[in-house]
This record gives sequence, structure tokens and C-alpha cells, in this order.
Amino acid sequence: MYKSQNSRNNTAVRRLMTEYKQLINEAPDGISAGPIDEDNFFEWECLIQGPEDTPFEGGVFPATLTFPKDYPLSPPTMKFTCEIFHPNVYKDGTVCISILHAPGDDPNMYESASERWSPIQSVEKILISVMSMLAEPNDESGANIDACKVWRNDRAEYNRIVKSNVRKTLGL
Amino acid sequence: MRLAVYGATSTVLATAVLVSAFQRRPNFYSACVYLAQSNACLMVLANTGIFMTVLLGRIVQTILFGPLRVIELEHLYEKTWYAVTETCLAMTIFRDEFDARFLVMFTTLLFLKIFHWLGADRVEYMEQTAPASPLIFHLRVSVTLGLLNFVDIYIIRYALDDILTRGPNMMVMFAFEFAILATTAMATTGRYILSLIELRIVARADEEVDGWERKGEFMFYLDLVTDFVKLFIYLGFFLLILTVYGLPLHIIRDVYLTMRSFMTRIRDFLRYRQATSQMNSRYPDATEEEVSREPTCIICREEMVVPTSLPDQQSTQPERMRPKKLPCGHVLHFGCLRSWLERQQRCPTCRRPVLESANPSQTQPQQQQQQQQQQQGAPAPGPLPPHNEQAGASNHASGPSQPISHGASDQPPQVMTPEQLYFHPGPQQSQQGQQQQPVSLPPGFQLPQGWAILPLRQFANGLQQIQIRDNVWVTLATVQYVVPLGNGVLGVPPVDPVATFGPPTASAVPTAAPPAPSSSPSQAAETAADAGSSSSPAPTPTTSAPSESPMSANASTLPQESTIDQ
Repeated sequence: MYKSQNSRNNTAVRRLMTEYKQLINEAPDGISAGPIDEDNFFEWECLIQGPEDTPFEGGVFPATLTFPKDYPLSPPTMKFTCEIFHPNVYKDGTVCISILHAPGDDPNMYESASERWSPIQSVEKILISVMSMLAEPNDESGANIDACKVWRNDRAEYNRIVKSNVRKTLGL
Repeated sequence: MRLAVYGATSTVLATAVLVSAFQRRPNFYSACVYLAQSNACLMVLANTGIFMTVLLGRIVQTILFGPLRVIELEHLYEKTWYAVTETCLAMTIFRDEFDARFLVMFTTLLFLKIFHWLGADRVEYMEQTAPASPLIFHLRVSVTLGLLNFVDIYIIRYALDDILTRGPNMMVMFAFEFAILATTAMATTGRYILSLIELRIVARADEEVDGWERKGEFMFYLDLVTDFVKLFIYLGFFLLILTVYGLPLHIIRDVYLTMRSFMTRIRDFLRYRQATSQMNSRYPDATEEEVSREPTCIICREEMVVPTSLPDQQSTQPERMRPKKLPCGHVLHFGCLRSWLERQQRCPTCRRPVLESANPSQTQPQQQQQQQQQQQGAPAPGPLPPHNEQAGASNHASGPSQPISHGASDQPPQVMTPEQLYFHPGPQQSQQGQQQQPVSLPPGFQLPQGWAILPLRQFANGLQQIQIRDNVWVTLATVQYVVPLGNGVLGVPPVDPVATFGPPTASAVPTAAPPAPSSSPSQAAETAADAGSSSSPAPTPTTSAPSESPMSANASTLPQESTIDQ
């Protein structure tokens, strides 16, 4: 009676497949992503390289992307699976950036609708945005208040914590 | 685990109290009297009672729901706090009638509420992913929903009976609470049934279909009716309490939330209806040429094909695959467009409203501004035009322009050509021999006409400077229209160099700035006017690091003062 998810959720799966193919063919620098299990296109694993000339440089940060059934009408959620100290990443690893928020719900009550999710975004754009977020935190809408404070008041300490996390992700 | 420890302690305590009571007293009756008269004993027994209730709740939960997901637990904690505080507030109204029956009703209410939330969460979960073992899942959900509906209605009847025979008392509150719960239960049931129908339709269809197209519409109606009924019940209760008891503090929040949700729904509904009514005629079919310009649908990322005029070919193409053009010129599949319009009545690409009259105030000024700029060939002052939507979205803050007092220089500064432009990596201290790196703009970003990218450096004290030419650095606050972009990139419109970094004589009266030879007088005037409107008339020294600031009073020494060896 119940078909597999793949045939049930057509647009979402077909679009995710298209994006996956594109990511394989023309992989952008510093990011890679793909489904964890090819039977379930709604859970992806991705790797993001720390941007150069930031304390994140040299690190490779694993994260999971979870897509809703109505992707691309609704945004996926992104969660780092490694320890990451950043003003816009919650302590549990969930990434808080405006393009991952659906228009309408505004947790911080100040993002304008034009910065929110729209189907024009894609996995690639999300990952690139997250990369630039790593390089340039936005402390106005902090997700991790401790990281915000350290980033604002004690940049050397911030760099130190981030670098020690980078070493941890590399298993050093 | 914690529950087990708590349970064991409670049971041991209760047993100890009971045993000691029966040992000390000669008969059952006096033991009972002793227990009832000792506060300590009563507390121990009450504690055991609480434990038993929690245990019962856990057992029912395990039977009906199995293990809970993390998100469900989070919802529970969050909502339980509200429920408990609100009911405590409600108690203040009925404080004279506080007794054992109240306690029983209150506990029942709390547990039933929890089960209602869990049920709703489960149905929502089912819509997102297929359950691992469908048979058990559906059995559980349907039994739960049936039970909840039954219990709700039974308690409402009981409460109503009580009110009718004994006049309004605290049962009014419970009748009301359970009426709300019953509405929720019915809405969840309705949603569950809709999901089942969708599953059935998808399972029966021969070809691959994209869910049940009309489901969204029915869900909409269901939510609308639910909100309406809830609002009705809330208002009724509100008025009743107001006349009989006084202001019901505890439901003001709920009344407000329901009212707002209802209003939003009505508004969304009207917009959605307007945007989707006669979609075929409202949005014209895209022509071959328009499709060839924009061949993939931005929503499903698949090719769009224009149906040819031949009728037999048109019939093979389903309606939802037909390319449709929005008023803003973007082309989408009919089906993709409709599903997006359920969410938002804006173009997914450029976010202009699809309804001409929907939100004129938000877009028209911007469009006008752009038109003006195009007509005059002048660069964009202020925030970047919508090109940067993708780039700006990369972080919460797409930087607002910083209006500034304008700088001064006695030499005509040169405008950097794109080849000369580099950027320094982000907020770092200026170091010896720091490499310059070629500009990398975020993908999809176009530099607006007339803007340039200049090197940025930052000192330990927070002073930020950009390089306008070799060895000449200008403090950031003195440059007009600086927009931080991504990793330390700064966009600066070298509109009219003289006006932007104009001579000191011109700065007192900005409109008197001599127009640059390259630019038309009108353009220079506009730039100067912009400068005047967004800045103080006289050059003011920047507050940060005066020793290094190029904004010294003696403007003629500016280049030397701000020259800092690299």
C-alpha cells in the first residue's frame, strides 16, 4: 500500500537529484555534499572547508542537511556534527542564517523577507553562505551568546577556541 | 531512570508511613484517622499519588505513542509550562471552589492536553516522512485520535450536566478547556484523514504523481474552520467569565493568539485566492523566446517546454508542466507556481508581488529609484539594488550603507580600474608584507555600475581604512556609501571623485562642489546633494584614532598624514 518515499515525493526528490548531479559535476571549491543513503534523498551529509585567512582555515567541518518533504518550497535545516564555536551556530550545531528561515517565521524579528528562503536558493548556495558566515559572523542575531561575547570582546580568545576546535575536527 | 528512583523513594516512604501507622494504632479505623490528621503522612501519600499518576500517564503514552522523538519532548516541556501557569491563573478565579474534584479534573486536563499535542505532532510527522512500520503507526494514531475525541466529548457532557444542575461553577472552565481540546482533536483527526486520502491517491495512481494537488486547499479550509471555532469558544468563555466572575486573565494570551492567527489566515486566504484564481488567464503562457532565455524552472530545476499550437501535442503535456509568465517576467511551471503561491504571493526569483496591487508600497520606491538611476546613468547610492539578493542573503546583515561626513583631499583622486582592485582578507590587523588577493565576489553577484572594490585594513584599535590609491588610505567613516560585502570586500561608488573625496572648500557648502570633468553637471549636483543630505556640512574629524585619521583639520596634508607604509 505504501510506496517508498522516492516515488511519493516527486518534485523534492527530482530536484535534489538534479542538485546532487550538479554538485558532482561542477563541485565548487571548499564544499562537498551528497545524500548519506541513496535511498533517502532527504538526509545529506556535507563537508565545508574553513575559509582561508580566518581562524577556521585548515579545518573541515562535517554537517547534515535535512530536507523537508516539500523542498524546495521550504528550506532545509543544517546542523554541524562537529564542535563549532561561532556566534551564528547554536551549541547543538544548528546553523542560524536567514536564508534557512522560511518567510513568515522570524525567530529574531528583524530579518527582512528578502533575505529569507526562496526556491531560488540551493544546497550549493546554502553551503557557500555558511562558508562566508564562518568568515564573517553576524553578532546582531547571535545563536550562541557566549561565542558572540567572546567574538566581540576578546578576538584573540575567539581565534584560540576556534583553532583548537579545528584541530579537534582534524583529529589532532 | 530518574522516574524509577523517584518512584522507588515514594513507594518506600508511603509503605513506611502506612506500616508504622497500622503498627502504632490498634485498629484500621484509628490508623486511618491518624494518617488523615498528620500533615507529614498526608504529604507522603499525596506524593505517592502524584507518582502513580505520572506512571499511569507514562504507561498510556508508551501504549499509544511508543518512544517519543526529541522534538516532541521539547514541544511538551515548552507547552506544559504555559498550560500549568495558565491553569494556576484560572484557579485564582475559582479559588473558593478548590477541592479534590478540581485536582482530579486539573490532572486529567493536563494529561489530555499532552496527549493532544503528541497526537498532532505525530500526524505532522507522518506528513513529513513515511513511518518505519506503517501498520503499527496507523493503528496507534487512529486509536489515539478516536480515544481523545471520545474522552473530550464525554467530559464536556459531564461538565455541562454539572453546570446545568448546579449553576455556573469551576466546571465552566473545564467545559471550556475541553471544548478547545475537542476542537484540536477533531482538527488533528481531519488532518490525519486528509493525509490518508493523499496516501491512497498516490498509491493508486498509475503514473508518478506529486501528492494530492488539492490537499493544500482542504488543509487551508480545515485550519480556517478550526481557528474560527476556537475563536468562538474563547470569546464565549471570555464573555461568560467577565459577566459572572471578572476578567479572565489566564486566557487573554490565547484569545489574542487565536485572534491573530485567524486574521492572518483570512488575509493569506484572500491573497492566495486572488493569486490563484483564474491562474491560466492571469498569468500568460510563456513564449518560446521567453522560455529559451530562462529554460529551467527555478522551483523544480527542470526544463520547461512550450506547448506548440497543435492541439494533440498540447493534450499530452499536463497542465502543471505548462510554462507561465509572472508579471515580473520570470517563467515557472504552472504546477510549481501554484504550490509556491500557497506559501507566498511573491515571485520566488525577484520577490516582487505577483499581485499588482498586493504591496505597492514595498516595491515601487525601489523600482522608481532604479529607473531614475538608469535614466541618469548615476550609480546607486545607498544599499545595493536587488542584484545582491543572493550575495546579501549569505548572512543576516546585508550591510546598510554608512552615511558619513565626507573626506577632503587637495589632489584629484583617481578612480581605480577593476584590474587594480584588490581586497585584503577580512578584519585583520595590518601587517608587513600582507598579500593582496584578487577580488572574489560571491557567485551571482554583480557589482553595480559605478561601484568599485577597494582594499580594506583594520587596526588593533578598530580603526578601519580603505585604500583609494597607492599609499593613500582613508578612514572608513569618511568615505561615502561603503558596503561591507562578504569577506572584507568593500564596495565604494567612485561616483564623482571630487564630490566624494571633495576639496575642503567645497565641503562647507556641498552643492558648490566643482563637477568632475568626466561627469555631467546634473550628476555631480545629485552626488553632491546626496553628500549633503547624508553628512554634516563641515568635515568633522572621525572619532576613532585621531592620530591616524586622514580627517585632520588641515586637509592639504591629508595624503601625507594618511600615508602609511605597508
